[in-house]
Amino acid sequence: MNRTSTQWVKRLISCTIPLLSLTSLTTFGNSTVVPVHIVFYEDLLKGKVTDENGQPLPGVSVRYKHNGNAVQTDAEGRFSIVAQPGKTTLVFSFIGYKTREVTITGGLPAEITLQTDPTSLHDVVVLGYQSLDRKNTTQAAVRVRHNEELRAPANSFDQLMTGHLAGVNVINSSGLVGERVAIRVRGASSISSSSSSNPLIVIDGVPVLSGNSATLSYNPINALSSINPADIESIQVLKDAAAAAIYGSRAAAGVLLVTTKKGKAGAGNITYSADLGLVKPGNKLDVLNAESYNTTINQMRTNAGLAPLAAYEQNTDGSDKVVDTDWQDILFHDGGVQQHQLSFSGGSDKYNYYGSGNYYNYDNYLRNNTLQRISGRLNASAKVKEWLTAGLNMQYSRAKQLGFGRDAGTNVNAMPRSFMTYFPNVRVYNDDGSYYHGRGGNGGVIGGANYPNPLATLEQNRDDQETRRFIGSMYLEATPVKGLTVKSQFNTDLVSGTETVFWHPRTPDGTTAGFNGISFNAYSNFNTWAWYTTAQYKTLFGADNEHSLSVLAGMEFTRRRAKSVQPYGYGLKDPQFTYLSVENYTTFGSAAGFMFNDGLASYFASANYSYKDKYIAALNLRADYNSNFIGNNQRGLFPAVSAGWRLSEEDFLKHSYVVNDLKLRASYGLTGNASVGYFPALATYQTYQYGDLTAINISTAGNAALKWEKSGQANIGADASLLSNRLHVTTDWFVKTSKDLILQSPVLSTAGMPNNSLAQNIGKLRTTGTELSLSGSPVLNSKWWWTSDFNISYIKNKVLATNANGDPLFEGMGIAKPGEELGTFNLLRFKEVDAATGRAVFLDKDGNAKMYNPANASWTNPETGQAVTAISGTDKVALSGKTPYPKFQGGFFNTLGYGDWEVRVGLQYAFGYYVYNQTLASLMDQTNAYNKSTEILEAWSKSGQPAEYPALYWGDNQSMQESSLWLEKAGFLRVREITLAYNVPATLLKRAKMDRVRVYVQAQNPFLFTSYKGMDPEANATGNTNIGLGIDSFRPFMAKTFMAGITISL
Amino acid sequence: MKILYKWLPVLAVVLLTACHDEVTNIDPENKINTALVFSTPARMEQAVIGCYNSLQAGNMLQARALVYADVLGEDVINRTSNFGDIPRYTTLSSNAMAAGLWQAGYKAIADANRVIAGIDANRTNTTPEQADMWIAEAKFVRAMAHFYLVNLFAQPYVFTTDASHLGIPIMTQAFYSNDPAANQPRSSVKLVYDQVIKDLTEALPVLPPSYGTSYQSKTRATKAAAAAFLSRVYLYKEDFENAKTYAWDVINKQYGDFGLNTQPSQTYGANNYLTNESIFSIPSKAGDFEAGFTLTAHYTTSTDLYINPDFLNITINPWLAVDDKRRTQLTGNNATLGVPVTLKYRDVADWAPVFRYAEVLLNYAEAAGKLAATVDAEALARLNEVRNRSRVSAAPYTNITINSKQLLIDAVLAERRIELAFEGHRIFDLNRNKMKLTNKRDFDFNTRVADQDFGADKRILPVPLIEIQRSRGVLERNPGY
Repeated sequence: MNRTSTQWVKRLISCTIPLLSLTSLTTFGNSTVVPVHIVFYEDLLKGKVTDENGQPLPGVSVRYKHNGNAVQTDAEGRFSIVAQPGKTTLVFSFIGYKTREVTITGGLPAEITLQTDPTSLHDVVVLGYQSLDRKNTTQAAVRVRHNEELRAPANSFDQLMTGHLAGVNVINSSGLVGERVAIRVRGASSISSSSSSNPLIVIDGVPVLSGNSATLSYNPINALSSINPADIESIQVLKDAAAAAIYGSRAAAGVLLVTTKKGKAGAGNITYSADLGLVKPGNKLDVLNAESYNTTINQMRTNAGLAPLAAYEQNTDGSDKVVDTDWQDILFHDGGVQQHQLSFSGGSDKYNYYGSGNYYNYDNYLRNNTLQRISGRLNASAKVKEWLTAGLNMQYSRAKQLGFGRDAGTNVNAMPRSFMTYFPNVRVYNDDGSYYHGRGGNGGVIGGANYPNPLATLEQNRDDQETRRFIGSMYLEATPVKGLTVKSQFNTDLVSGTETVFWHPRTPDGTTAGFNGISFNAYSNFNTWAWYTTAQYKTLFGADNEHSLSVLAGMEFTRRRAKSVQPYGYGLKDPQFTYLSVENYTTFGSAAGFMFNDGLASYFASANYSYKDKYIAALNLRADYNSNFIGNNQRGLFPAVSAGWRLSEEDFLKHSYVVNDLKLRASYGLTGNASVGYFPALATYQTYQYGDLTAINISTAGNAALKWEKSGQANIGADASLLSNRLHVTTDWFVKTSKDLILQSPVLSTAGMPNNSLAQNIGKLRTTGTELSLSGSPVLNSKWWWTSDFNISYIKNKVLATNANGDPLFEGMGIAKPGEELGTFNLLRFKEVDAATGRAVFLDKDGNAKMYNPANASWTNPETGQAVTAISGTDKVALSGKTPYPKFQGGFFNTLGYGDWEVRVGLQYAFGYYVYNQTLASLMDQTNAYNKSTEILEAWSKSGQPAEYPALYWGDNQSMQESSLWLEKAGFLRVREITLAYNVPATLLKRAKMDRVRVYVQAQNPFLFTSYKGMDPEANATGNTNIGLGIDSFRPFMAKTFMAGITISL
Repeated sequence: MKILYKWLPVLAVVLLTACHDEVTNIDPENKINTALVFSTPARMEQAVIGCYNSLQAGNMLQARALVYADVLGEDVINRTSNFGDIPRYTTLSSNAMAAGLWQAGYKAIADANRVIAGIDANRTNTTPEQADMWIAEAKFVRAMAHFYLVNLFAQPYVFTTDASHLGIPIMTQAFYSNDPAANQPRSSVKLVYDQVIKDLTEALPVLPPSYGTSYQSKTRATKAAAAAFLSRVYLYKEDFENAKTYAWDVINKQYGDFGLNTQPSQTYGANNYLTNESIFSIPSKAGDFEAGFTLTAHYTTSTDLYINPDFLNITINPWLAVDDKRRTQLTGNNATLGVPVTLKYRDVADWAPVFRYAEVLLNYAEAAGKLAATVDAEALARLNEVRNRSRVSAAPYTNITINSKQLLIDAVLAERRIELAFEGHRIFDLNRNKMKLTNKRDFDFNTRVADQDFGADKRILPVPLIEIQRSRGVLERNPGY
């Protein structure tokens, strides 16, 4: 506290003061003006307000706590306020900055610094093609804009959004590099698997390719991993129809608007940041060791009256070669992550620029699973004429992903499944160092002659994927007359991918179908171009300019095309030459792939009106023509209307110090879904092969009546800023009905349609939900502060209709059945393990208990012992209420700051859903001798003793079959990050002429609290699907990462 | 700025029309519109080959239709238990394999119907002879699919005196959408056979004796193939007169010069697909088959099926001599697994034999043998022809060793069992001869599966539950399912 800077000044006041102003807050401005001329002396407090960079902040509101009288800082950030006896705290608040309270008993500090507030309501909301001041938006949109969050090293930016945004569920699926991430904005919007429920992602106006961009199906590639997260300024999610309708036709599942960093007027800036981290496995699967394995397998055999099977290999002298191989340990290693980013930016009021270069390397804790990415970006815009601005945003990146040998983890020889299931009593290497292939001392195993040494497969098979991506947009913006802006922007997203797969002849994949060494390559191109032109007119009219109107009209043309060439070779001739060419393989050929080829012509208009910033209304209309449909069905109309009422502008709330801003809003609109497959409406034939001859067969039955899928969404919400902008609350309630969903209607085989199904618009789905976001600063004073962000959402999906007969649709273990929630698990009901005999008891579809006796493969009534018909697939029942979609989910992020230190803890949670633990079901399989889970030790062993799992019996394929026994309630609380950061004080930096230096250490995913016994409660082996979600099948745990990094800014 | 005012709308209109069509009028480059399929002769022929392509489905004649016939018999053991309930005769109507076979079969029939209708509607685009020939090929495919389906999903012709028991739906109409007319009830087995015979009888005179290349002559329908097929159909129908006639036409070289290879092994394996002994086979090629759905996959690569040692045991099966070449050349031992395996399908892209000259000889022998009152000399001669190719030290059959009609028939049936083993015949032969199915072993060889009497419910596959449900009860289920 610097006493000398406090200025107690006496001054003469001579003014006309409204009489009532000193008495009541709420009537300020409403009173009669009584001219009173008062002359007196008073004390003034003076000071200066700056931002964190030392720049003065004009327009900051300064007032005493619990007092409505505010003064504002001038152009140099200075203010002076009348001293009031008994008032010891000043409150500083300003748009976009965190409100701060300062105690003045000892005098004011020299400069009061305000920190940027990332969650302020009073900023700009980006909605397709235009931006609006947030206070005038009636749409539901949320944003992530914490610079440090989005800069954090990550494989792809969608992973960074987890838990931050209410209503947005980001399912990370597993710890595998390139894993399919499923993003759900307000639940699923579609039922069939060909219709994606992933939102539309737009980066600086460019609609980009997202999802799995792998052409060969062996290892997924997350298309977003070729975009550098460190270049992102903010991600805005448009949730309701009003927000998304301007993207109408592709927005049924929401829209993610990503804005990259742009230069700001002012001094130039160059920033270098480096991050280094250690990647460790999140968890390890508990499987048997060699000793337990031998005893358990042989116990299974003995119980079935068969000879033992498991044994150690024998040495030449007949003794056991005792070996205990922990295959998971062999698969794991200490991985690392590294990122270097150099960026520079600057500008003036005539131009601005931002450029960056980035190197990112992620070496997963699983061997041979890495991602390397190099990217460069340049964003620039210039006001070339008074009325004309031109701009350019582009990035080029190259991402190399080295993957495993085989996808999906469901094949026995797959990665990482084989490491988790291989025999523990078998050694890895021969004495001469070569890989040991064989079953050790174990007897012949049912399931084929597959004894793949997992390490040999991992190290000898190759699956390399490289993606090169150019995303660019160029625009011209003209303001021919005041208020009118005409903009034309050309966008392009060019992705080219190369995949190289090689299966070594000595691995089981390499001998698939009898071939000896197989090689596949794929060269693919995914190209998108989009061109839009808009004209926007903003005006104010009325006596007092109280009416504000903004009208936008525009059109956009989009074209997407993706195809690939896939050469293959079967039968390697010489192990020295493995590259793919006709000389090296006995059979050499090439296939072609066509992924998508479609276009959209869109015409849209939007009007936003507000009266006195108090009553707001917006109207959107968009008409789209989709090339996938035929004739008039190409056209889809997507209107949306919304209205808002800023209660806080009403007189009774205008000067409340509790409620600073309160807005109620409601909207309704239609959005559509454009990802409907490859020419689904055309009736077509395609070429096929009949031996050496070329054949053409029916390819799609087609349906000329096929039309747009549509989603109607109603949304009611409120945004509030309370307690001097210390607390921001946003809450929404919505109902989304998706209808005319394109589903494959099953058709009799005798009609001979391909896949025995016809695509028709028949499905209907309803999603309802509530969202709540709270963010605020519970503690705010000059020394230390605490900000908190909490969000929670409750979402429920329900299938209303599937087809005319109400037939259910099956996928994975889920079902879409009218009247049930989407993806409800459809399984056999496992009742219990009979304590007396250890036999499995199931319930048939009518609820009758049936017990299985593996000894004679018979089913009996557990009470009477009478023989009954066997349990079969027809006894599967939709387990109402048990779905893989969480009922409640959200996040809780807290940041504590003390001086230059900062501690941040981020939590993510989800409750009320189920996961099918197929990993465990496979590890308890009694029909093969692969390694088992340690859970098998909990199997029934003694009469009268209740157990979780039925008795061991070799060859029993009924007791441990697919059933509700493996369905577990999952719910979790995950600590996503704990970060400790230190900002070097400005005083030290001034001498070194540096702007900012920040150092941090961070732990990602350090703790997980869950009741789920399997790999990870977020595990999802089925990728981006709607019905079959929630199956955990050998997907590796998410990694724990420990990072440290530094940012230097000049 | 005024310039902008004037030109902006013009610009907009220009842009509009230029881009609108470009983005909404798109044709797929890898597909052809259905309306254009029968526009040129070349495409018509490709469409006809498309019918064979459907027959080539892994679930149909590339593998499964033939495999199920042997899996339901007693000569193979399902080591890996991957055929589940089928070899145990405990199949349920929800069985996925049965459903796959039904769907693949009807897909082939539907494709054939569409080709016939398409060519008929576009006759002017080609010569009448060509059009008729292609329609004949499509009818051949249609008959094939109906025939295999009716024998797998329904009891044999002889199950009732007039074959009035339930068969399968007969499809002769082309469908392009979810037409309610596709929902047909099951016709009687008699009507199905009548349709098959009608298709083949109409096709036979029109089909060519051969095609441009021997590759095509062995993989597309020829007169010989139709005749061989007819001899089999009539044999199953027990119309022995006709069976003899058609078999004789092939034997008499009326449709081409066919003969037996010197060694039995010369009929199988890469380089042996186009021998004189093959009349019609389903081809294969690397990249053209579904992994796991080939005869090679089941009999060799995964060894799902191995030979029941009883088949090779000369006490139980004395007909297969110890030195018979079919034993020495076509069976072997898998050392790793310790089981006897067939060596007929060892190459990755092996073809599936459907009609062979050896079968035509046996068809003749059986038909003639059953028709005559005593031992038919011609029948015996044909039987010897087949047997002499493979026997080494055993003596040929003579009037003395085979001295009764019953003995002749037994010998023919036993020879057929050995000659056509693992080629998709066993259950059909057992069913139509009303023979009891014994000596059936379970997956682990030691356990025995209960004997199945003639007419047992699970000697045939179930009409798939999903089809019954989709037909809203029009399709009737098989008894016992």
